[in-house]
Amino acid sequence: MNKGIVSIIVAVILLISSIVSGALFFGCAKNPDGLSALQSIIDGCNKKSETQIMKNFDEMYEKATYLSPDFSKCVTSDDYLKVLGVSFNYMYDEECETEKFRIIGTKEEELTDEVLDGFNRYLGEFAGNKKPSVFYAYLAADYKDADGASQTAINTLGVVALNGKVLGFVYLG
Amino acid sequence: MKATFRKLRKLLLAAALFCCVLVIASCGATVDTEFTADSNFNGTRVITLTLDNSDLSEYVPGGKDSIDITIKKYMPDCLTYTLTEGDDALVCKFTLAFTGIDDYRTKAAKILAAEVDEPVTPEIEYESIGSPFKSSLKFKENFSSMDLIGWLRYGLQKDEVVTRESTSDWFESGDTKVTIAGTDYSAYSNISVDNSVYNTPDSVLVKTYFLTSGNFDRTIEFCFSNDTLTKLSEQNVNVEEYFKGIVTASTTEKLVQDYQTTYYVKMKDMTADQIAAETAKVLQSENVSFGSSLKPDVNVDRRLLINVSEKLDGAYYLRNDRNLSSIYFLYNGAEPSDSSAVSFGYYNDNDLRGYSYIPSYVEAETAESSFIWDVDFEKAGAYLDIAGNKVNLDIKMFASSDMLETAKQILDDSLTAALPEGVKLETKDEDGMTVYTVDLGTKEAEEEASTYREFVYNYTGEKAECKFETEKSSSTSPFKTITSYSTVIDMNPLSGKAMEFTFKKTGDLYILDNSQITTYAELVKQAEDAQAEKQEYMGEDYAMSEDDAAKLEQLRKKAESADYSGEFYGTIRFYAIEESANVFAYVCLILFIVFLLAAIIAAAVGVKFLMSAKPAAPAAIPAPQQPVAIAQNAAPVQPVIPAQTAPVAEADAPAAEVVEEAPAQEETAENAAAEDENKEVNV
Repeated sequence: MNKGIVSIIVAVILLISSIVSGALFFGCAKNPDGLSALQSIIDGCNKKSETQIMKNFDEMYEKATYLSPDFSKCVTSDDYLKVLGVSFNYMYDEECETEKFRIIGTKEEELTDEVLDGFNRYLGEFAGNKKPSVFYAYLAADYKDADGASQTAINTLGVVALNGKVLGFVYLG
Repeated sequence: MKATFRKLRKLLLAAALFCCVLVIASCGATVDTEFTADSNFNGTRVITLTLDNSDLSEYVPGGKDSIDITIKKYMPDCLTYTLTEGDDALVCKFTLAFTGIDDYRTKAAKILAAEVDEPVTPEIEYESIGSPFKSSLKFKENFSSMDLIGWLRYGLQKDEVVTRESTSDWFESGDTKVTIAGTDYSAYSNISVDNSVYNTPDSVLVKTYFLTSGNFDRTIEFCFSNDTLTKLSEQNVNVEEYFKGIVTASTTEKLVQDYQTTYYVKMKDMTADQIAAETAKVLQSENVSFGSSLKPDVNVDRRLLINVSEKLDGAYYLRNDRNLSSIYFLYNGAEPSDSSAVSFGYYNDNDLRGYSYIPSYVEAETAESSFIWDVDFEKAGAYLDIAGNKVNLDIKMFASSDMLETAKQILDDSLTAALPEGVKLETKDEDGMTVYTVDLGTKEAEEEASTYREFVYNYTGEKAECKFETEKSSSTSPFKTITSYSTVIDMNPLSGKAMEFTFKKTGDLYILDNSQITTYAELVKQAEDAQAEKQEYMGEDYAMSEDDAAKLEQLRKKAESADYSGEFYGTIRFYAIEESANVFAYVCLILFIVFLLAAIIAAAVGVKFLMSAKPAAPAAIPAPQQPVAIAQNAAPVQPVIPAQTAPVAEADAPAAEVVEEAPAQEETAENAAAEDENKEVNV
């Protein structure tokens, strides 16, 4: 009887330990609000899917950014990204060819006036009473250069998100 | 009849008046001039006064002696005279003897400065050149012999030697004969001779290069039209041979173009005196000099003052001295001060700024030019190493190894004086450059930035922005950690040129697109593309210059560096992220799995214990015997063995088999209980 109770107690302790270490592990990949939407948008660019891109933007996106994305002339994934106001330096070299865009990391920011000034104030205002989350995403582009060699370019993208959707973002390049 | 008489009377009156005029006009002294000079302008100017005896007796009551007294009283001492009384006239000869044009100028000025009624400021132009390019004789004066005996007219009037109201019209200009270098020239009262034939170059350009050794290179360019060269050739003048023949320490070259040919006389690495001497030989003139001095400006850091004095004379070659010009190529960055004779000329092939002037426009005999040279490094660079929160920044400054020693010393002193406390300066020669490394040490980010700002302020007096930020960011992968680097270093005060930046890499480094650094790999590509374009434009004959090839090779070498390196202008804006493995995440994951499995096992063991303990105790009680009570007391321990083995059995065999084997396990438990019983008995 005692051994059984001891085993149970040990089991509980081990369970708590596993929960703690699991929490720590999953905490390593803690994502800011709106990251999955952003990832979906970037993936939509890779897939050249206007629907996938737009469904991840908040409904206030167009009002907040004065942008009415027009994907009708988009041919490559670069074009889709450019419509959103994001580009990379290598894209101006016609011999370079994009392979894939991906998000490799984020850095969260407090929504201070200073940060807000860095973004478009309208983005914050359109969030209404709710406080939008702000984070910087490191957007990577894997591409082949003129010699056919694989390269990776990185851009920092300022993202304002609300309710798990992207309200707008600002290219900091 | 009456009318005829009236006419005759008028005619006679007119004739009488004419005779009176002739009589008046012919009275007084005639002044003749005989000017003789050899090719060196050694000679005499003889002014002869001839006074008819009738005039002498009529107008000079004191006769010859009174004139002689006046001459002795008023004659300037650079003149000599003879007074001869002939049968018809009194002849007085004044002789001005001279040795060279300067002597003549001096003496003429002295004579004209004597007491006279109407003073004259003398202007004498003289040029006598016989060269293969120019046969020229010019001799012009703005005065006459009448002016040169102005003192005599004044004396005769003042001492009332001549009984006329004025002596000014008592002298009459006679003949003027000019003989120079054996050739007679006709002239009038003011001598003016111009007899020149020109086959001259269109221009002569003197280029002087200031070398870092303190010496000078000089190239004198003679630009002839090809028509002129043809004329010279017809006169058997070989210009190329001519220049080869006159130089001793120079080399000669020529460049033939469609309408003109340029002859170059090149002097290499000479002192100022040597340059002047050789230039004098080439320009065939003694009227040549050159000198330069250099000293630090006591009022401004890292500033040198350069003074240049020069005298040039292109008369041997040029018809018009305005076609002679001089241009200085000083040390890179030297600029003329306001009072300088020079103004901006043009850039040479090495993009070195030239400052030029036209010697004939300079009023002074010697052209004086002064320059200000703010000495600077040829390039600079920043070398950054960040490890955790510690930052190490080295600032490197490069100066050419063959930089002027004075300039190098100024830089060295200035850098040493600007070092903040604890900062070291190392100097070494590397690939033809002297590299000054300012090692700011390894410090916390803000402290390092502050040290940099202090150094820049000490060195330049300017404030510079500097910040290093290192932040841990989240990766989308739990197994990776992202470190972001944000570096801003304002290096504008240190250099306005392209500078080097190197960042020591430790992991996978990704440079963000908004960084303003052009990597060496990109520079190599740009250089290769430029060469390819040239090749395409110029065809197969195009070959890359040695300079370009060396630069490209150097870029390639730098591009192979294991560290991140490139070039920037003004301010370093370096943004990067570095990905590395997240060991913590790996450990947490392993612990999570281990703990979870262990918890499951422990829980299962515990449940088994609890499950097996309650039903097993009554069924296993054997027949009542002495030791049974003891066995009953030991009953709770019995399920330990089956409970421990059960999960293993369950894991390895189907559930049905476990059920069949159960009685055997109970028997084993009973045996164990019996063994325990025996142990109790034995005790």
